[in-house]
Amino acid sequence: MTKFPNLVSTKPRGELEDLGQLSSAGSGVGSAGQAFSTGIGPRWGFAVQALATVLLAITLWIIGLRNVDPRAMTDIGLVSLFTVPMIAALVVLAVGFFRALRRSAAEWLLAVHLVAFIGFIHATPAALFGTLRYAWAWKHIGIIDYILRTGSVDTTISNLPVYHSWPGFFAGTALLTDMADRSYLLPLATWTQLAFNLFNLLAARFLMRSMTDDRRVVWLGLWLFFLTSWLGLDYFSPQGLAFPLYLVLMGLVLRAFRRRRADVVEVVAPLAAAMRVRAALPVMVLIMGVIASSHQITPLMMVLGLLTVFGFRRARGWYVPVLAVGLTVGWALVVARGYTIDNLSGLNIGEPVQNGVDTLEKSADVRDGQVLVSYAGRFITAVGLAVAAIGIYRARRRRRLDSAALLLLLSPMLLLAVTEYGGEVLFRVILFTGPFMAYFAALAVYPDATDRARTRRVVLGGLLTVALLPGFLLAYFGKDTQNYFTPAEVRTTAWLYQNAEPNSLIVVGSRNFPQRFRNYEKLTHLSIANEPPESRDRVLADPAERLSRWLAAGTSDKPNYILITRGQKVANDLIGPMPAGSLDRVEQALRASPRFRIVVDTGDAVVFTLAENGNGR
Amino acid sequence: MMRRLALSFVVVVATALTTAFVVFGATSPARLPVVLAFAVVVPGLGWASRLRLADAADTLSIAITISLCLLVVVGEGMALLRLWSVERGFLVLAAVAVLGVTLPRRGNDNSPAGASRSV
Repeated sequence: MTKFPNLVSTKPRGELEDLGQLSSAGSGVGSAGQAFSTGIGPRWGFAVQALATVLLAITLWIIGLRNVDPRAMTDIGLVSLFTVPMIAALVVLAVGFFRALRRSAAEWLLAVHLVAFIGFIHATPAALFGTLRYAWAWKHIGIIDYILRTGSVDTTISNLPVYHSWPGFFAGTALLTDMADRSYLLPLATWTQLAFNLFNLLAARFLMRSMTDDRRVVWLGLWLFFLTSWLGLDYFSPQGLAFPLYLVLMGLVLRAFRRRRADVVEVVAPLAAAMRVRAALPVMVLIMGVIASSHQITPLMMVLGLLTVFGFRRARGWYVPVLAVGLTVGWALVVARGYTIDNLSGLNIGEPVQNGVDTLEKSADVRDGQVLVSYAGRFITAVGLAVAAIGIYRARRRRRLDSAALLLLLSPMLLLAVTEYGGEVLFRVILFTGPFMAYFAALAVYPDATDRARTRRVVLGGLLTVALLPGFLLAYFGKDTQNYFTPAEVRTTAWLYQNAEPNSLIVVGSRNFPQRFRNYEKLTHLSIANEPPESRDRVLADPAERLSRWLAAGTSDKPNYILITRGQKVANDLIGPMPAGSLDRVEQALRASPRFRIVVDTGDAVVFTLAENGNGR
Repeated sequence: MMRRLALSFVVVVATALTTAFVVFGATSPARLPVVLAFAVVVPGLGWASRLRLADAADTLSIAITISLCLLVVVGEGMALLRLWSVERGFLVLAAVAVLGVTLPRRGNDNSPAGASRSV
């Protein structure tokens, strides 16, 4: 086996391609990392087999999904509805992927497998539920609705000011919706999770090609990246957009600013050719500006990543982190000044352990199957990090460790020292370490670019998949019992938002419902579950008496309302904070009380108001 | 040369079709896919091709990145300045898209030789 010259060259790969040194696919010349088919010499027989495998998997998945009723989900979410054909589909797809990897198949074939996997995971909820998943996503719809109604944002607004202060994602989506047709807003949002993950695939590939000279590492890394992305932060949100932008930004940094001294960069010839600074920089400034104006936590992550890579001299160009800091701080102190000043006290600087513990404590009150779901996520991350550590060790021994990538793996952890981010900072750290963790985990399987032990390495990758897949499915789909809203719940809430007078008070059981998606700033919401414990206890002791007082003391002379939905009950029963069955008892008490009358009742959601007009005043 | 012509053709046709829908209010079931494809890919396509990345998927990644960033920047600008107008927003995106394929190119923007000189 002839060693491929690229492995010991200091020239970027693109240059070698130009020099005609790249062997054609399947020629048997060169190391396995470079021996992928380029499509020049297609092995059609294998390609047809691989495509047939993917088609079989898709067919099995569709067959398995027939007659599945999302209302039947148990406390472990969508996983509880998995059928034998669906599991078979995943097995067939995984076998097909590793078979293609072993045969060093063309990249488009491996991509077809991954796109099918992304479709299984991220299109299924949209197709099956038919409604937008997750209460927070509905809240984001409310901001877009505001922009479309008023043609502006209001950075001084008192209701959800953070979204008006970093409005990039919302304003961009509003423009897209306005161009397409405003009636498409909800369908677009429903399918955004799939779109974001397809963009993640392109962005993560763009990044990984800057870190390795072995295509097998790229594709196994991508497979493991999607297999460990259990957090669900890819929903219709500013974070969902900012994350792939961050990946592309770091890919551009590694391509255009990386130091190429052999004693600094161990991977001397990544798959992606180096870029000129003047070509990459305008795109980077655009990305940095959008990240800085669209989200609060991603700019911090961006600054930390850049400061680490440039600070440890793995890249040259001091002005890049300066630009990032300038854009981030500039936006926070100019456009978002009001919000920033009001919330500076929210930073927990110098308390990394406490900030991490805050995230873990958020899941301390979960019940039943949700305990398992919570541990499944932690298991996935623990396994991923352990295998990545092996990858780092093996790559270092072979002098193939990309120290810039290692710094980017570690830099998100610095965020723990800065903020607890509403008890979510650990989740964000896991999110941003994800692609680098997957890349190093792939290096554990392919520590060198030789063609040795092809079968053994593929078996290793397969075993890793077997270890990760069940936990991933449980962690990713495990919260869908509460994230799913029935069409009746959506209809009822829509009716309420359409008909409630401005300044009306809307009392809800919990915040887990299609919330605030229309006329949001005109209505006041009060959640029983989010009240202080003593206030909650008083409501549960005598719901009709206490809630009639709330409504009578409401913010408007117009009718105020109580909304109890199926999703609110499910969420409270699974994750608290009130005892299981509390909202059922509240609903029964209101139904039985002469003080209330039912305005709308769709079975899955009921709207109450006081029996007397005008709150009995 | 043929590749550049093909790219220009795609950008101009996509922009013209989207203009028909957004500016002239044409109605058709094709409106959603056409507008989506335009907004997500086209404004950045010409600019991404100027980077002369060897890999088509890398070029697509950059095209989508630039397009989404432009969508955000234009939308955000109009919302913050209280100048919201879908036609105005679209026309800015269309102008950027067309400029990306019509402005003259400066030499070999990202040739590997140039890249190795620059780092």
